[in-house]
Amino acid sequence: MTTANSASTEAVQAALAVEHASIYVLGALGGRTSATSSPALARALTDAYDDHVNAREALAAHVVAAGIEPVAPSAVYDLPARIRSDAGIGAAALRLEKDTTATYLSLVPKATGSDRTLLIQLLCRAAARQLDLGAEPVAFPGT
Amino acid sequence: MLSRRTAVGVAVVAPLAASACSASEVLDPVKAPPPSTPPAPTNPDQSVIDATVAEILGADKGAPSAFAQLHRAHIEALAPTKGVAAVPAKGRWQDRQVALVTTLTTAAGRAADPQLITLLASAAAGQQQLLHGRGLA
Repeated sequence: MTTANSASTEAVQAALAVEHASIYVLGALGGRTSATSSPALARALTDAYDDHVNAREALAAHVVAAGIEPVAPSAVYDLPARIRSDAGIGAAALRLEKDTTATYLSLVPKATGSDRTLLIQLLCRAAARQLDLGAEPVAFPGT
Repeated sequence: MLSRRTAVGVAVVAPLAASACSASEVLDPVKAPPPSTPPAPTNPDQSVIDATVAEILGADKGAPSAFAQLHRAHIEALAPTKGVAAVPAKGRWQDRQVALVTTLTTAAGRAADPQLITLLASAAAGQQQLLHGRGLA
């Protein structure tokens, strides 16, 4: 039987799995970007990568504090295929951030207490990162 | 025991009385009982909604119109009680707008309804986006 607490921890674990995937994909996208020819995009990807690493650490710490083993990353993730331009890389990164935002929003109601607060804080960070990748602000990100 | 004559009289009068009574009920709508509509159930999250909207309204005093515009969408979706008053504005508008992210996050933590939790969390993200876009967070 699933209790409220275990459902909350599962939500945090799901968010952690999302962060593992995001770090992998952003690392790959950053590797295809030139800091010389596209400094703004390179900086946005680096900042996003660092932000996701921080999110991963915060989520893992929450799971450990609950006495549970944090979910491990997969060996490999699907990467966006056939991206040959900076615009394509930027669009793929923005799509990743929009998906991350939507996933966080879907997980928030399943969490309780400090888990829910953490997920909302990371949701807000994901929504803000969208702007760095060219998105316009909206009233209800993630919906 | 009723005599035969009395019993016949009662039998004759009784239908007339019953008939007259029915007719008066039909013809006099003023005396008809009011329709039984049970009161709408109270929303257990209404106090959370109203307190949050009061904070939003207070934060918007002196802020750029982009914030008020964003908050109009948030308030409309939250559906507060009619006539909710703004809390008194204190400090710089920038600080009040930054604090709204915490206000919305805290409200999402207190709410019970999953749809309201989602709405408040998304509104917090929308506020964070606008602040980030203006270099305030």
